[in-house]
Amino acid sequence: MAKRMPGRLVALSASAVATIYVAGFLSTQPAAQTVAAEAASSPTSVVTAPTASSTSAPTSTSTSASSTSTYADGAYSATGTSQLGNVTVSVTISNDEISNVQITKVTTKFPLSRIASLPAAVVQSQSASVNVISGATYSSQAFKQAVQQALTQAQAARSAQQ
Amino acid sequence: MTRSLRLFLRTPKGTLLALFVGLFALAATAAGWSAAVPHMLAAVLGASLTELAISRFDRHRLAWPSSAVLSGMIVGFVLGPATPHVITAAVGILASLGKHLFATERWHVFNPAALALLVSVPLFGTGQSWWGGLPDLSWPFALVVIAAGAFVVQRINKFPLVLSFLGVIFGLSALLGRIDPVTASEMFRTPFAQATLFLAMFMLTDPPTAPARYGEQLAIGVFAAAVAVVSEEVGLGQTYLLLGVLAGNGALAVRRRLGLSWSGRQRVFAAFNVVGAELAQH
Repeated sequence: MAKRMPGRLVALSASAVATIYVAGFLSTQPAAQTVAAEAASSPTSVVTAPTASSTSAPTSTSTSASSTSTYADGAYSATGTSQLGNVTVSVTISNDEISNVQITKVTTKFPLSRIASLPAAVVQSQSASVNVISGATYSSQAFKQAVQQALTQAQAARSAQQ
Repeated sequence: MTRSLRLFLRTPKGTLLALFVGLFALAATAAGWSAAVPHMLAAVLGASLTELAISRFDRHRLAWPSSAVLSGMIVGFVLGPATPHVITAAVGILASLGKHLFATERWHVFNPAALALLVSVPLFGTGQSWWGGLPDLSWPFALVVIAAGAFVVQRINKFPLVLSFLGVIFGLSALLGRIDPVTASEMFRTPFAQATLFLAMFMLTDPPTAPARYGEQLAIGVFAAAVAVVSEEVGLGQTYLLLGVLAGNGALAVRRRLGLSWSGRQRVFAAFNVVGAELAQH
């Protein structure tokens, strides 16, 4: 077993690491502010997804719809992408309302717990227009993109019925 | 408190377990107890019951599976609480299996939790949360993680390993920020910074897979951090921290010049054979 590292050396080394951290934090602050500003200014009701990298597919056929409804009932699955990974959701439409949203797969770095509140927010707001979560910007955007894709599927299914 | 429990809590494993329970209490307040408790139980039970089963079939005396409990808790802390319990338990099982599958006569080669978490990404499509690092709480709670980690690191004498890892990962990230400022900026912020701290203090320092000599600690810390940063930059996504610690483990195994033993694998396969034979009888 090696000798114990002297306390002063530990403190000195830890101070050096802290200095490196602070220097890195401050030097990347402009980039972080830019990302935050982009997230804040991006439209939340219309998620402009790079469609070439998005995938979506209805997982069940619609069951009913009134003549004035927007969405066809059913469950729709879609995947939203970000530069840090994908988020797949399942959106259930019942009686023209978003009755349930479930995150079924996540491949972003720090995914589920950071965006776990978003499905409930979508159900509450009845749209993909939910706030981006600070610290989970990319995961949030991928989630919103996926929900929007699923809702588009539901709208298309409704249009097909009419 | 019984004497044996007091003695256990004085050991590094006991100290770490006590600190993990404290971190869990804090993290669960943010994540929600109703989600956090069953999630953590699934991970711990998956890992510890597998460890007990392997010990049982290996004809070893059944003992409190403290290492497996810790591995299970790390799995639980890294996977998000919303992960399906079946998958969480499966990753816990993988942690205990991996410990025996990749083992020498004296040590396991890879950090069991890190290996299982890495395998679970392609196998189960799991994500990572690292909520045990308290990223869901305000930034002063990062100091709690640092204090708890420093206490354990001091006890197991791994400061050179941790400090070299943190210094290089933050230093390289700052330098690479000149090329890729967006990715670099994340490394210094929630929840990435907390994840890095949690990994450095509680996973990289796992005594069987961490070097003892200071020179080796410095070298492995630098190497693991470099692998993590490169993995991040080349787009390996959520696995970059795990790849870093596992690369460090592998480098140490090579350094020790020990080949993998078949004994660990034989134990696991023997256990499966016994279970299969018993099922066939029924």
